[in-house]
Amino acid sequence: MSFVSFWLPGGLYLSTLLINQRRHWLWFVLAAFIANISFDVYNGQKLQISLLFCCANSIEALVGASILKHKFPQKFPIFTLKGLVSFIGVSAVLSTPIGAILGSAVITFSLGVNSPYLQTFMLWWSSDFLGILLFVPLFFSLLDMNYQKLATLKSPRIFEFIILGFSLCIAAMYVFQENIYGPDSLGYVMFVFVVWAALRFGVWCVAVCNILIAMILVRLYVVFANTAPLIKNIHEVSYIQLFITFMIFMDLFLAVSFFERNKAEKKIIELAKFCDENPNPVLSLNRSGELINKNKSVDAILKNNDFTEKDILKILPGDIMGTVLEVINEGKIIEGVEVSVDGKVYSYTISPGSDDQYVNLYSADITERKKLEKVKDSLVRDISHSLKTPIAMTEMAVNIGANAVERKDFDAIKEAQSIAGKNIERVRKDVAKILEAFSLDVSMLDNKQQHQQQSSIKTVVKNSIEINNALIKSKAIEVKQQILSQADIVAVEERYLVSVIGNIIDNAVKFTDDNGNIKITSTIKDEWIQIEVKDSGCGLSDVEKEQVFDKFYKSNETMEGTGLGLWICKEIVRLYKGEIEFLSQGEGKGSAVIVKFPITLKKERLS
Amino acid sequence: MSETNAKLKKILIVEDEQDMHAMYRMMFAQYKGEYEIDYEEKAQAALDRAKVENYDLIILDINMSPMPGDFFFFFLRLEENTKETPVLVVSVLSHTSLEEMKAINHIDFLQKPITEEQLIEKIRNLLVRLS
Repeated sequence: MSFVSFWLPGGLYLSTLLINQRRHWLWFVLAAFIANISFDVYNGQKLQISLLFCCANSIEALVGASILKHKFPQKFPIFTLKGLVSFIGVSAVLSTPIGAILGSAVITFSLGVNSPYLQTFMLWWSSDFLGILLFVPLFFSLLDMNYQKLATLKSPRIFEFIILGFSLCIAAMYVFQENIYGPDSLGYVMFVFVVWAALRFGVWCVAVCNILIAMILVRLYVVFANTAPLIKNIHEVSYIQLFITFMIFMDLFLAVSFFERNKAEKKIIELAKFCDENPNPVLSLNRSGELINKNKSVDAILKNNDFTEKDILKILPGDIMGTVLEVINEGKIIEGVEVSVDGKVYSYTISPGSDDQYVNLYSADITERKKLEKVKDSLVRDISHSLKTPIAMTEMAVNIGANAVERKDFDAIKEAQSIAGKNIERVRKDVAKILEAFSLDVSMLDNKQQHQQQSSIKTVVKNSIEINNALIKSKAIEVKQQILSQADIVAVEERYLVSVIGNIIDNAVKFTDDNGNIKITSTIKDEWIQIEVKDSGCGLSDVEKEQVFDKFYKSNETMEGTGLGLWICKEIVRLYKGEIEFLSQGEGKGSAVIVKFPITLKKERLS
Repeated sequence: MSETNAKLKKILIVEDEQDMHAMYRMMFAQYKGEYEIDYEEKAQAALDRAKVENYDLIILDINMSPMPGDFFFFFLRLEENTKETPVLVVSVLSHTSLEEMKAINHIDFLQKPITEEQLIEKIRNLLVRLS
């Protein structure tokens, strides 16, 4: 009968069960039986004895795997101290003793080996436990700790694996080739190697090294005692086991503590980055207003690292210290402290620190929001302005009409009615325009369905002129049209074409003086259908030409209208991949608006 | 207005909305014996006219183009013979938005929409205050 000081197949058995689902365990148990029995029988063991050994090994592996899998269903828990302790506890106290009780009973009572039961039990138990302790951490470090996923080997790792594999081979040769006698200091060299590996790679590498060291220790003993690696004396085996156990425990705890420290350091670095990468200022101030912590955005505002009393005003102009003290003293969070710095507006949240000696200030850049708010305000103002006049006039007309009814002045009633009607129409038009502007903003007509239609420029122009007919007549404006029949149909939905042409013609009529003229042409130019509306109106300067398509632009603040007309035109034209251009020779020299739609659009639709 | 004060008061209305002209005409229709009304659409032309003709009162709109009413008003005050002419501002703008103008004498405000009664009352007050 021979004993081994660590039974590695026990570790392999447990690991195999752990990475597989419970319903497949039966197959592995069968495979283990076949392998174990054939090996034992080949070595001259009786069949029924090896069957019993097999049962002992299987029960121990099954119990260990069940408990571990139940406790840690997703991941093997070797990389935390708690996980390591549970793993050692389960394998040392719960699973391996069961195997040892059965196995040593078989040895003592069936084979009649001349040694006390307890001693055999201790030997079996520690040999199995050591096998698991040596093998399982190594196995799972290769699996990236996850039961299901095999570790993806990155190139530098492959290189390291080759080196380690090579050292393993050398160590194995050193242990098992009786003729090779290495220097005794090899064991110490390997211990240094283990510590390095723990620092460099963490637990999995230490696991590899533990096996190496165990082998070397056995070898050293063999050299010393001049006996075979499979030691026949139980006492000698026990001494080696004790020493190996001590080494493994030390290594594993060392590795886990290193690993956890590295992880914590990494986390701290990440946290620092997290704060630094915030594009907005984040800082802490103490009671006396001194800066304790700051991120890079604060540095960018300060532009130097020396911090003085004045600098705090650079970041937080105005009386912020009052608020800081309020937060410190009352321990409450104050939000929405607005601060303008370097042309940007920040909203600060000031929260008390973990002790009542400092505060944290977190900012959010609200520059854009402020701008939007301004636009919104001007929108509301513009809308109310543009609507106020016609609404006031309608009201007055109604009032005058009522007075005229009392006097039975029918001419006045009629006139008042017509004025009220006209101004209601103005309100309706402005409201429609505002609604259209909002809908352009919101949906941007991205729905392709809306591109499926086409419309006639001639019809739209005719309608737009009719709408403005009253004003055209009263101003005695001459309107000329020249729309070529091949440049009539465009692939633009009619209501949008009406918007574009209507707005441009509206403007032309509005800005053309009495007895002026307006000319509307539509031609084909290269790949475009080009619509031009030319007037003899007041024209615009170069600066104004730039802004004419801006939202809410008005050449004159006091002009009626929403200032949205040409912006709507631009957005619609852009949507249909066209171009829009405002031409003017200068103030007082008339102007022309040119709208182009791609002709290919039309061909696509017609084909 | 008493019979003794039979002299026609000359009023200039500076307003760019045609419809407003029409409504002023209707509102003043019953006071033909009291007021003589002139209309101007553009502030520039109105300024030239106010310089030569001695108006008793000017009714002024603010939202006009190209020259807005407040500009007209300040130019008016610069002229020797119009610097005392009373002005009644009739605009959709509220009085608070016309603070700057308020500080100057011989001015009063009405916010559109206005009624015939309000208009006549204001005009009478302004004219009485001056006489």
